[in-house]
Amino acid sequence: MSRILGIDLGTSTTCAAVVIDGEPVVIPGIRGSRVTPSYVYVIEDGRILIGENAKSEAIADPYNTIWATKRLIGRRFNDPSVQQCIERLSYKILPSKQGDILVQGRNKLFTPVNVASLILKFATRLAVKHANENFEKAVITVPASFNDLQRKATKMAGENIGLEVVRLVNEPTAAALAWGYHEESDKTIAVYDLGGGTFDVSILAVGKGVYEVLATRGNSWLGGEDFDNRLVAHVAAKFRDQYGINVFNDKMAHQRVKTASEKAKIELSVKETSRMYVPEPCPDVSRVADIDYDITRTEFNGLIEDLVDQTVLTFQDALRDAELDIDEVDNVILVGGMTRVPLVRDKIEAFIGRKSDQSIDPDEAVAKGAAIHAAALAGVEVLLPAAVSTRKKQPPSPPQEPGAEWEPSSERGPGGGRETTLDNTGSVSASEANQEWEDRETPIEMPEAGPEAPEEEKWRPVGKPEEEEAPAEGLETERRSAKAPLLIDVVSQSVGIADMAGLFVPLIKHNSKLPAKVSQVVTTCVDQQMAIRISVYQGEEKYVRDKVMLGEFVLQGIEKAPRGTAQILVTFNIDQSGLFTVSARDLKTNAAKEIRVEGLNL
Amino acid sequence: MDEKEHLSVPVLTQSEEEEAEEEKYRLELNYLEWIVVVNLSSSGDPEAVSDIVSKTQLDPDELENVLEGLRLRGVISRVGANGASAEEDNDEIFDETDFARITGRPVNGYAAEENALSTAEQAEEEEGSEVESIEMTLPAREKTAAPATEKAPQEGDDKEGVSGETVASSDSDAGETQEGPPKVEVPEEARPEEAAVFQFTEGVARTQVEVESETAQDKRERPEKEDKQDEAVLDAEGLSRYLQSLKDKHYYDMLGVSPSAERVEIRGAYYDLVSRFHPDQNRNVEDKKVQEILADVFGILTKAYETLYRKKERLKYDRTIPKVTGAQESEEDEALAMLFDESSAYLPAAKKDSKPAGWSFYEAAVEAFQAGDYNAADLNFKLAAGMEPGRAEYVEGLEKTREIINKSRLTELKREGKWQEDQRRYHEAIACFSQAVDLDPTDPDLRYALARIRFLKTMDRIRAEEDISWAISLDPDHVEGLLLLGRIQAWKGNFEAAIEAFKKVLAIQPGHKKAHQALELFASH
Repeated sequence: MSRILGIDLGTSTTCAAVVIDGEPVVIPGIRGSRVTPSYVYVIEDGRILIGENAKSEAIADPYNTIWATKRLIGRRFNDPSVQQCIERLSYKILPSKQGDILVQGRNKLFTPVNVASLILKFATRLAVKHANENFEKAVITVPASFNDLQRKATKMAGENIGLEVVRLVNEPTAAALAWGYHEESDKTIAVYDLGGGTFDVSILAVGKGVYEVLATRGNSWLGGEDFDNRLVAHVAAKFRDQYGINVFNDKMAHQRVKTASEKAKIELSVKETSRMYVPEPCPDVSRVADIDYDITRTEFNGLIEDLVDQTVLTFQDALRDAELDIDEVDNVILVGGMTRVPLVRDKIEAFIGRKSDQSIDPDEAVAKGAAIHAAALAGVEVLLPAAVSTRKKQPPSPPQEPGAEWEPSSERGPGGGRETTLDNTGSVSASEANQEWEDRETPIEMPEAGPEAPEEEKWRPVGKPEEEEAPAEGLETERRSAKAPLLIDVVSQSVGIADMAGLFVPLIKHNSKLPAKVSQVVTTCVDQQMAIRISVYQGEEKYVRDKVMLGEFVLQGIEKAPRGTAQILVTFNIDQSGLFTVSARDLKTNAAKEIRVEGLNL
Repeated sequence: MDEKEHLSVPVLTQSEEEEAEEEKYRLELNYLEWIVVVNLSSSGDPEAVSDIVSKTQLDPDELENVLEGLRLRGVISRVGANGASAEEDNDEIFDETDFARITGRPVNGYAAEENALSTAEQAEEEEGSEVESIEMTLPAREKTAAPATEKAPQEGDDKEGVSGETVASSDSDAGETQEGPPKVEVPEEARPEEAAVFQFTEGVARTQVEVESETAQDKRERPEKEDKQDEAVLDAEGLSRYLQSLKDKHYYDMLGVSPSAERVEIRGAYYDLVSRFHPDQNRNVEDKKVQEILADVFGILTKAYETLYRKKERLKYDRTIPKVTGAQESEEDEALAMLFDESSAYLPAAKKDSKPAGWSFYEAAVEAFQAGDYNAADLNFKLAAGMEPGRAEYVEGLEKTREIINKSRLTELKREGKWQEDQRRYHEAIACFSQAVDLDPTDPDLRYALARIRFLKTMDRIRAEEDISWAISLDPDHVEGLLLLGRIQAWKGNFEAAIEAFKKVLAIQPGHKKAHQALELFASH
């Protein structure tokens, strides 16, 4: 059986992994980095650049560089949050005739699904090169808070390039798989995943090879992008006060400030202050006006504090859903690039009252987990890093001296220089991370030459990926059986229908285990009624109007009868990928005549 | 050139017409695109592309761009003019062909999947019947599991024999197309296997209860024993039988734990069960029916687990099966086992009693009622009553809800009627009030209002008289009503009746001005 690729299709970065010889291996990117920026750039001649090279173009030509489309995928153009997004993004976002979103890069128009397809294609090609085999199937991760439409769009993105999407896995769940395998029963973990564009938190019970998600909560509009935007707004306000120039009027200037902000944010994870320097962001103004500010960490923390507080509140909600107290959670695992920000760690650790678990690489964990799940689905044996679990059994680390909290960030933090020494936590990956951040700092301007010369050397990873699983002592003894880890995930948002009075009737409540199936008997409300229209909604909002309409369908072929006598059993299904389907059956004629489900938008 | 000019005439007029619509979408078609659209729509044939090239003398590449843009915007449907050049081995650059390939697929990815599925099914049909293909997958799994069965040589040998037999039978039957499913599934040697299913499905609870007294070592061995029976359950028939047996059990029995089990035990038992019955764990069985049943089994097990794992819900649930849970403190394990047998017969009846057909609607109705959502409550009560006509709770609930709904509807109608009257839309006002009268025929005020509008505004005096006499019969002391009655009677020329009415008013309110005036006026007649 061919291998199945695990792909973490992120807002800002994409990462692919595959299980080779029982171990998840991250596919290295073109410049030796482990992750590929989710950027797409359209060159003048109509060709398309993806990844690092595309990201380099973002400053030079922000109008034709497309990024962060994960925030747009599966949404409608008139979605208020999309409208908000349009202001912040430098490329053009247009509505299609059907009200869907189109993004424009030079003379090309893409749907967000197209962009995702391109990125997935790129990631698959890298994998094909690296593993020297063809991948036709993939497991793709999505934020737990994604609704059915967003999931369907993601799946479609894979299928449009001929990649069979075997499963969509929730990102925090995948990270939990990568975290380790535990033979002993009843361990409760929480995965806090703060990525580039989305935030998710999941509470899991792990034992006997089963990963049971107890509860999940999230916010698909909270992530690194928002942290950057806060900093951009702050700097822009300073600049405006000083020179009276609004950088938001100039998209090029906006993009440059944004890039500088991202850099500063990363630097502030390891340093107390960061100098933000953008020479002449608006060059058409007659005066010399440079952005040159020192941003302190305290200043930055003040800007983002409420965002971080929001995540902690969401964490609390998830715990309440799981009917657990924070003390009952054994490990809190931090995933996602944003968990490198010291304030995030501090707040989380203040909340849980002890050290958080940073044993897995925040950038790669999700992809690795996807690969492990893919292997489990393919029936391939996986040797999960049991060494992680043995380390976990050790007593918690002794209380830190004051000031020592910054230590972990300097270990793993980006741009901290190569001289930083590391302890037991994935030494190779940290230096890899440095590599990656440095790439971002020095964008190479080679739109023509770069893509034209894909030298073989570029494909060679800087460090051997096998070194990732460095602590091997535990592995030999804790080789686990062929029984694959089993994921039991949950629905993140309730699915239900609107009844006659326009009220939401939840059929599959959130945090129901997947696959979930609910049958509901519906009946006619008018004499001689021959068809019933049913609208399906998803969301946790209070009112139907605020929820996302997944679609409408019409039950046709109902026998004429007085009202209320027809009995049609409508079955709502959500599969393990979180995808929604519906079927119907006439109870009276008892399947003698199947009711047709005619999707209007399903 | 002549041709081009000839073309441009309809093109321009059409574009002017349509551009107004297009502007809404901020995407204006340019000249070239319109040429393409018009040509395509006139011929309706993708092959017209070559015609366009010749007509317009466009660069084919440029045309490709135009087509792509149009298709993306949904202006034209898919155009089959993609250059089908070979895939370039350049990973960083995605050129035109890549773009076309990625974006050029049909938007509906599921259709593609369905096609793939249907072709796969066709391929299967060519090989043999569907059932056979399932059988082919089963032996493969048994073989992989064979090493696990080494510990119990007897059973293991049986397994080997059976699996060998299935392989042989399916191989030999491969040529025959119309093999009856039961024959294939249960060859004679497989009978013991089927028995094992029975034993397994019914025995889960009992073995686990018995095992409780055994040592921890035995406990660790138990999953392996069950694993051996795993394969036996994995055909549709055995599974559906297992599903049926689950439905007859109570939750403790389903999970195979004792009613006094700790939460950890419950979770452990659940994990053991789902490790076997989760659809993901049986992905190699491609039978859709099996997958469906597995999903159902998973659902039932999950429901049981979630109920028992949550303390509150467990308490609630325990009360529904007192026979099982009530005995837990005093009785010994053997007694418990006996109770299990009884309860399996007891529970379905209890279920039927507590959850009749319309009960879910009734519950929903009560919930809605308590939440103040009377429309939903009304609907659900109606549905419940429709399912079980004449059930007292439903009828009572329906009446109560009706009452409340009517009340609110009445006030609404009254307000609406008054407003309509103020707006001088008298017919609408009458409609409102007559609806209100239908809802509450005992309110004299409503009748009076109706009569007043009819008499004074719409001159529908005959019906006004009817209404007012109704109002007076409902409330003989209705002052306004009596006044109106007097006026109506006077208008009819029935002065005695009118005077009587006015006198009545004065009897109720001696100082009533209008009545005095009217009385004086009519006394002269």
